[in-house]
Amino acid sequence: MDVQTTRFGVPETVPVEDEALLVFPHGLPGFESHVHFALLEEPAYLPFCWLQSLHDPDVAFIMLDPFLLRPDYDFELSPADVALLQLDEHTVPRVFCILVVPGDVRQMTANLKAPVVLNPRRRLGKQVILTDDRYPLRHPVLAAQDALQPLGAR
Amino acid sequence: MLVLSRRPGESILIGDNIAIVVIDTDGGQVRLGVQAPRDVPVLRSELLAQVEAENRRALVRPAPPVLAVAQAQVAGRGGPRRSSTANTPQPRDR
Repeated sequence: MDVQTTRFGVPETVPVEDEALLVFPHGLPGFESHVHFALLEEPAYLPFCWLQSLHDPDVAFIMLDPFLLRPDYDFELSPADVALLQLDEHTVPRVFCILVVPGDVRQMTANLKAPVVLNPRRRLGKQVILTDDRYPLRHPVLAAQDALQPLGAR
Repeated sequence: MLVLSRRPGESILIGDNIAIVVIDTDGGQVRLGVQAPRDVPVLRSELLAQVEAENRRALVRPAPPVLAVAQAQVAGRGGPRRSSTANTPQPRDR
């Protein structure tokens, strides 16, 4: 289907496969009425992707793989979240973090406190809130990349 | 809203399996103990408010040139993109 977005500030239509259409049964915190989303993943913009609301072209979250920022990133999903996402031992969830990209790109931060978890098979998603204090709401993205330098050598 | 007075050591029950115990009070602060099944999420409400506010901040649009700079830095310096599934936490029963 064709998805309407203003992710760059101007109206744009992006074709997406059905596999990229997602349901967030509870919406996202602050956006509880937004239940239907599309995951916009395009080679030109990797490693960034967007979680685009199908309810409003203006509601688009730019996301990144948190393991690019923190290779040791880990957390445990609650049984309630496992049930909501219909995860089982055969399904590998996908995890993203939502970015805040201000005008000064060096100030870009990633929300590692509330990762977006997807079940790609069932096309279900939830933004979970981690209750431990290991990961911040605003993790600096580009500073973290400096620390990641050795990864490129692997 | 139901309003109850409790003393330290006293508790209230919510439904069949949630108990909230007043542990102690100190000045303006109350320490509470929450006994709830693992599948009942218990959150400080300000944490939810912080995530809501951060999600709203995230809607500010990066201009494509800004994004291209970030893309070059993240993708270029991070080396080959790792699979987002490689380190994904597995659901675990407890």
